[in-house]
Amino acid sequence: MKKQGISLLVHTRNSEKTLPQLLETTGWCDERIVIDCTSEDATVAIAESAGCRVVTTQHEFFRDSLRNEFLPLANYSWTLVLDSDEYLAIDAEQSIRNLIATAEENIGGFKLPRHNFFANKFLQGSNFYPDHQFRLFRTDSVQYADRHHQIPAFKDETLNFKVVEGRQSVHIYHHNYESLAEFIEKQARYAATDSYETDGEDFSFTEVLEKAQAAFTKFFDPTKDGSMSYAIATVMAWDQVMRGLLLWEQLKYEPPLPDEFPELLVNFSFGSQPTNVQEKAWIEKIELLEAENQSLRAEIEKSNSRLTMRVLKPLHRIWSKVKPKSNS
Amino acid sequence: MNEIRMHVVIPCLGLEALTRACLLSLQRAVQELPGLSATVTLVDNASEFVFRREFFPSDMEIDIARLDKLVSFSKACNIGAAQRSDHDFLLFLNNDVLLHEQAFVDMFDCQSSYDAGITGARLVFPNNTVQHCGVLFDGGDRGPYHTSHMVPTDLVPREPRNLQAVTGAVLLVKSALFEKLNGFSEDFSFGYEDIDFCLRAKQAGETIICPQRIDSIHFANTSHTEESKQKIFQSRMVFMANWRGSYEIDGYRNEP
Repeated sequence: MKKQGISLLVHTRNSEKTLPQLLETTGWCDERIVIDCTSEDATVAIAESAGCRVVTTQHEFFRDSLRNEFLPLANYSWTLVLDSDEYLAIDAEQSIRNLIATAEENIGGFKLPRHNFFANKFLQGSNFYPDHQFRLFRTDSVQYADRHHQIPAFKDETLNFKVVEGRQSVHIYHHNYESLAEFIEKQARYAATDSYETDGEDFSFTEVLEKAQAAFTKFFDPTKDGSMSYAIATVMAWDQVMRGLLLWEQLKYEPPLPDEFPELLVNFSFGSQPTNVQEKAWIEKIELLEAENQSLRAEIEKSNSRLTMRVLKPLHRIWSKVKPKSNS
Repeated sequence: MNEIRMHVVIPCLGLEALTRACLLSLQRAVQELPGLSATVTLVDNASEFVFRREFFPSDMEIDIARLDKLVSFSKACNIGAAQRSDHDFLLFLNNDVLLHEQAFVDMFDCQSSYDAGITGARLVFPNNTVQHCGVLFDGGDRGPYHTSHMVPTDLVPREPRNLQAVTGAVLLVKSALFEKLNGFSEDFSFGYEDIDFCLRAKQAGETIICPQRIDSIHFANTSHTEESKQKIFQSRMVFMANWRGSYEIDGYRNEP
């Protein structure tokens, strides 16, 4: 039986820069457990001097699934999970204790809104707000999947989570990245160390591009975040392309990428408002295919040559039919 | 001059750019008084745009105390004051004040001359009329008011004033006194907490002084909304209920 209260779990790795702010704003937790992944800086000393229980692990790269191994360390009835580059407001304690005190029995946890800072810019949109995070839950009630940035699942299916809404509700504060360079480096590392579904039959490079386009649309929010939104959306779209290629690698480079891969990639556009140059390139491509499929031309004309995946998909279908498959 | 450690509390509801200008003026004013050092807590009172440390001068000792939920001005001040304990004086400063570079020279000179528990500052609007040079008390419903309000500053005498109250926009208080009085009363949602605090200090036998030699700028009312006006009205009701009949009547003097 766990004691009534809140256990904080934080994973760290070389977190000396960000950890102090987290520790300053969580001193009210009933216990604080820091799981350190082979830090080479002062992270452990900082955590210990703040009275945290420090557990070291030899894992070099943190993954959410590692949390499963350490969740049982929590001695209190609720667990709050924060990343080492996150912190809380100074009035968070009362809000969190109120949430817990008023939680009905079937509420297993809460999704908390998160404010994100990117290259010192406070993001208002770009899919980075409210950016709800499932970080507060009944101890022993959840299990993380073996992927990066996955929402944990309840072990007991009768449990639900509650989404905490409102600008003046409790928030997590997250200093995401100090620069675009750091953002790109971390995205690449996450992609390289993530797990992938290796069901070869489902792999399609067109689908990868579709996901890239979806990612771009999801993060593209210039009215709220200005030109930073362009940068974020572009990186997140290319992240999908990278992940597609990494999945393909795990599939032992099978099936071979389509012969038209360079054209697909070069002419692929994330935006829904193509430039004249992009549009011209696509019209040229359509003209090349005209002889092969008249119906496609009609479809393209109908959609007024807008550069979307609605165009890419039928193109790929036709190419797939025309080009002999080298692996079959 | 002996070393003086001052902790500055700036409650903020938005106005990030103005807060930066306020801090730069504070930094310059601190540099003008040898022996004075300052730490700063910005109490980000649930501003819509979360305050970022990087936006403010990097060579100042500034902490940001972020609140998720909007609290009363008095509570924000108390929270800011509680962030540090290593100081001799607390300065409560509004973020729409631009301190004159000689402001602390004037204030600490006056403070030490009178051994004042609380020291105010003379403040002008951007058009150089007086925003604050002391709070006086009239009889009847008027109660406390800012004397010489909107009078051209050149027409208002420059002798320090011994008063019953000064504005909380720039309020310097001995740290021990603030602790002794348990800070600002949180019964006030917005406004009159400063006058209540001064009257309690006065009851405790403290001197309250407002130097007059130097004018700093106070934009005043920069974040007033219909809601805040309502809160001021409520605070006034609380104040009058608590204090009417307990302060000395100065009469009404709004001339120079």
